[in-house]
Amino acid sequence: MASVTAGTTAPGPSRARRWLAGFREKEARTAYLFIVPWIFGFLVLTLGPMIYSAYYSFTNYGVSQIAGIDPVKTVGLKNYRQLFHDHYIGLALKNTFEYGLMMVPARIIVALLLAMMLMKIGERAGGFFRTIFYIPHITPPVAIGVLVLTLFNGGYGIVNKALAHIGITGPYWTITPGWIKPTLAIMDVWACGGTMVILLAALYGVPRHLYEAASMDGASKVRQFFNVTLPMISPALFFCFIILTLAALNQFTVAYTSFFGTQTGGNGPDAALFYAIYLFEQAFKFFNMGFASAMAWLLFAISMVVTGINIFVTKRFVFYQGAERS
Amino acid sequence: MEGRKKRLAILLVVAAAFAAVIAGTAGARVDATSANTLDIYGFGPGDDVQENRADYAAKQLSGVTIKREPASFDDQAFLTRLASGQVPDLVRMGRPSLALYAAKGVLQPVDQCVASVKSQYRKGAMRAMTYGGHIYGLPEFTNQVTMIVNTQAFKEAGVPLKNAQMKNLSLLKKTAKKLTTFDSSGNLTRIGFDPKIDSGFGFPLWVKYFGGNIISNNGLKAQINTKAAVKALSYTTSIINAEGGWNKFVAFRNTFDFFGKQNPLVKDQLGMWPMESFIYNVFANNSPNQGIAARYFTNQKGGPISFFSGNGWAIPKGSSDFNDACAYMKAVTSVAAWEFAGAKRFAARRAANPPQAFTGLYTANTVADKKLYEDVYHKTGGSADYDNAVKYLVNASKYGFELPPTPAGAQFATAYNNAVQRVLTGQQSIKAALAQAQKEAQAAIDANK
Repeated sequence: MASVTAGTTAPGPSRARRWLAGFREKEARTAYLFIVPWIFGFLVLTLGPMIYSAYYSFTNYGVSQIAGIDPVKTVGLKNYRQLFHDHYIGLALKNTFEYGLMMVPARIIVALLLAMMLMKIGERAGGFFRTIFYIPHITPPVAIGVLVLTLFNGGYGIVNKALAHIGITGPYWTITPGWIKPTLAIMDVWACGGTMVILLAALYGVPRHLYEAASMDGASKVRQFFNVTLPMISPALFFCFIILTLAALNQFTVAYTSFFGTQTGGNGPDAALFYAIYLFEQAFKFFNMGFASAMAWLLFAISMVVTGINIFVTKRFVFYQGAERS
Repeated sequence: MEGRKKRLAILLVVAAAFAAVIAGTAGARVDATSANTLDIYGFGPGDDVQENRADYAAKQLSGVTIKREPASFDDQAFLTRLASGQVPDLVRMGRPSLALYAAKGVLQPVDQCVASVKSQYRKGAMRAMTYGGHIYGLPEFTNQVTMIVNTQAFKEAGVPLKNAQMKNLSLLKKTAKKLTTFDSSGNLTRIGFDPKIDSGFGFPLWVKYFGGNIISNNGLKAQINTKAAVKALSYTTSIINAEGGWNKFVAFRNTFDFFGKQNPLVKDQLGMWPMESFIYNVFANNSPNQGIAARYFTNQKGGPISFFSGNGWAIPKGSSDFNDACAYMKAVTSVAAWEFAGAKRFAARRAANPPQAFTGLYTANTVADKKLYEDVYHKTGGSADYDNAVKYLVNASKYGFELPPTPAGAQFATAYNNAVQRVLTGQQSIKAALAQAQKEAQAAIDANK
């Protein structure tokens, strides 16, 4: 009886050897040449600082170490332990999560509604409104930060004046602690043009015949939306969800300009203290670089965990054409 | 063969360009560190007063090339220079930052070098330049705080100007209420009295009013949670509440064009408030005919007090030219430098069309202040209002104090400013906010001393 034993077939070239062999091809060399600048940038400007930051998070790196006056000393897990003792960490995380919970769904819903609206109107009008809706997206965040204070001024801002016309007394958006995060979320929704364009592209990609088939089966418009549109654009929705969640975790510029700029002498309200702002303060205002590095790694870990949960929870709702539903 | 030659030529061109860049960089480095160059950081191009003083100081150092990096002081940029070994010979920075750098060993003591001139400088400002018993530099401006009174508002409200006082707190509150006006929607149209408790100087100044100090003389003990601090926050909050409450108050204040032609004097938006001295020049430019009066910020007994702020000069450890650095620092803050710059500004304002008032330079050099006032601007060239205001400004300098330097640096101010914010927005009681600030400030001091 014949038996198959190990070693009866000659082993192929190793993976590394196959990879190296690829360099003999001119096309492969050209391709690598094209990506060398990116790889260089990634190694020097991203990975390098990340490794340094990981190292500093275990040290007392501060003013005298930067200046070369005192040597850098390792402090073990002290900076990480301090994360649990500094109550502003909890406050900043709470603010950041609350803001994310408001901003991410609101922005996706509004962007989707706008994209669907643009699908309905003609090509010419669609192009015009697409540009109009996209303009806020390219407005510099610093300008948006200044706009927040002007538009949402509780006594004299346009928003409250408009609300007053319909009999609503608007709140003091930028002063009352409970209204600060919703105000920033509203401004983010206003600048949802980027999300809208992604979803619009996804909507254009939904095959028309699916709607026709659904219609022939008697599906209502609402049913078509939930059973055809949403599944078909779910990869784009998922992408937006992940990207916006990460953006929420890193909220900095608009909040900093509005509440920690020159108008407030750099002392913003607790309600606007987002994690990235507190990290910036620790690093570049107080020069506690070791602690700030530990904060950065905590944010990185949180981002990974949140993204992981998102992937785990949402993968069963995401439908990729040509791939089996997982 | 042809291709090989081409590759070789390209290689040679790249190598030559690389060599040129390296050579250029090396040359620049030699220039920057040459023995006769004084490298100054934080004193980039400024207004006429700054440039004239810089010219004067440069002339006092014969044979020395002055290199001024075209930037204002920035902590990150300064630290980057230190980290890369490009230590400036001399640096100008905000006085609150100085103690942090002194405590961390970044700056050099200058006791001996300034011994002959230190008596000229205001004690309050010199205190901010002193840490651990050593002097670490020389102060520049003082920017003392006085009360600014909108005389038009007083007239309109039928309040006599003598009520612009601070001795009697209940009268002050009554005056504030009388000066405060609202529109039909209940929005403020004029704030009677802004106590400025949320500004950089407000909390320390009001605590001083009630007889306290928010930090010990040696800068190592936070004294934020004291009876005086509680009184300061209670009173100022009550004033703001009497004027419509914090929400209305700050929403209205955020609409002000403080430094423009439509400033709160022109638009009659503020009755009275404490502020730094530089604002008089701004108002003299933008609204020269608007009624204005100066009054002292006083203590409970009616005695004048003022708060100083400004920059200071210091020499980093690793400066390659200590002697020239110290000579420049003394020259640029000397009586002669201030007089030179002051006289030029006064002449420029007189020559402007229409002529502008010059409401003075308020320096940390007492001798310079006296001479400037006597020789240059005892008549401002503006209205009688400004001539009178200047008399208060000149005298207010005598009563100024500055926070002792603390190694906690910005963390100290952040702690008490956050507490003020929490109280004003109603998030915390005064006692709880101050207790938290005390804990945070002391922890920051302990971590950095």
